[in-house]
Amino acid sequence: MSEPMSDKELLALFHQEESRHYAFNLLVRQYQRRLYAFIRRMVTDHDETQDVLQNTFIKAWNGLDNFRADSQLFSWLYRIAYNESITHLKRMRRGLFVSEDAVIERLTTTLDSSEHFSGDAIQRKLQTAVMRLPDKQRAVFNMKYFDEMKYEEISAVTGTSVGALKASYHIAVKKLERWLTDQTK
Amino acid sequence: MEAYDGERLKQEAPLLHGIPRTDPFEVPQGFFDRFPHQVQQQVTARPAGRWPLQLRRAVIALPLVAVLAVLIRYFALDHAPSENMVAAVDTTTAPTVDDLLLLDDDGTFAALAEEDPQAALGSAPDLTDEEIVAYFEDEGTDITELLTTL
Repeated sequence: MSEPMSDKELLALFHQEESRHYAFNLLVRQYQRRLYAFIRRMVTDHDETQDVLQNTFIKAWNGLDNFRADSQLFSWLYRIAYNESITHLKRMRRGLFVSEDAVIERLTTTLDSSEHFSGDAIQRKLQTAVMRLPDKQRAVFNMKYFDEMKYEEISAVTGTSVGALKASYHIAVKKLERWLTDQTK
Repeated sequence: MEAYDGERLKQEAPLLHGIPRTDPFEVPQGFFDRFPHQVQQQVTARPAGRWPLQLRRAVIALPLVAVLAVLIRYFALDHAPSENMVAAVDTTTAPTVDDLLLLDDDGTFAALAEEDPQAALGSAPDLTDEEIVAYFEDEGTDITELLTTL
């Protein structure tokens, strides 16, 4: 695979009519894996992840002309993916007309029945515990713990202050440890 | 306290710390080769006549602005009800759609009285209910509150 293009180069290509589609194709190839991984951890099901990821890139296509180059392209894409994931989960709740517990049940059932989950028992236990976190806290935990993003980067994505993010992550870690402890008793 | 990692995580959350940070979710074979083409098809196959997002939002907003203008006119500027109108409308409570129908017959309220929200936004026929709801969500508008206000 060739060297990834810088955001500046991608945007310069995108702004030329003749290379617009080519640049966008490169952009999708460059960022699809990281965005997919983030969305998948939020919605768990592959097909739903594909829908959310597709919506993310379509929104990016529609908004790329107005993208301000003073922020990172990846943070901007991540923000769209974050918003799309949260919206998807809200729609799921509205569609099911069920309690929070039932939604968690559905997410974990999806995990259990997924042919595309290769984790062992402890990984499954961790993912099940992570799914019990509220949506936004889960997103923050995933970005920090799995994607190893800095708080400043997460702040740019979520629009939440760094202080609030640190608190949210700290609480999430405590909750997860407690749940994991309960599970092993 | 930049990272809650390493030693601190080990001390405060030993079980979590002991789980390898691998990605247990698998992706179907060839997905990342096919996906860029799918997205490309989506962005190139958009209907030529499809309205830009801003225009669609304006089309949704215009009837609402018209309704608000009529309400403002009624409640603030032209609030000199005749005795008949006072008898017809109970001003101690929020007006119902039926009340509003008595006040204005230009079709705006008639459209609002329709059960189908699509009819209330008659000038935006290519929008689905879901798109309209999504629009209000994007705008941070509480739909329940909006309907109560109307």
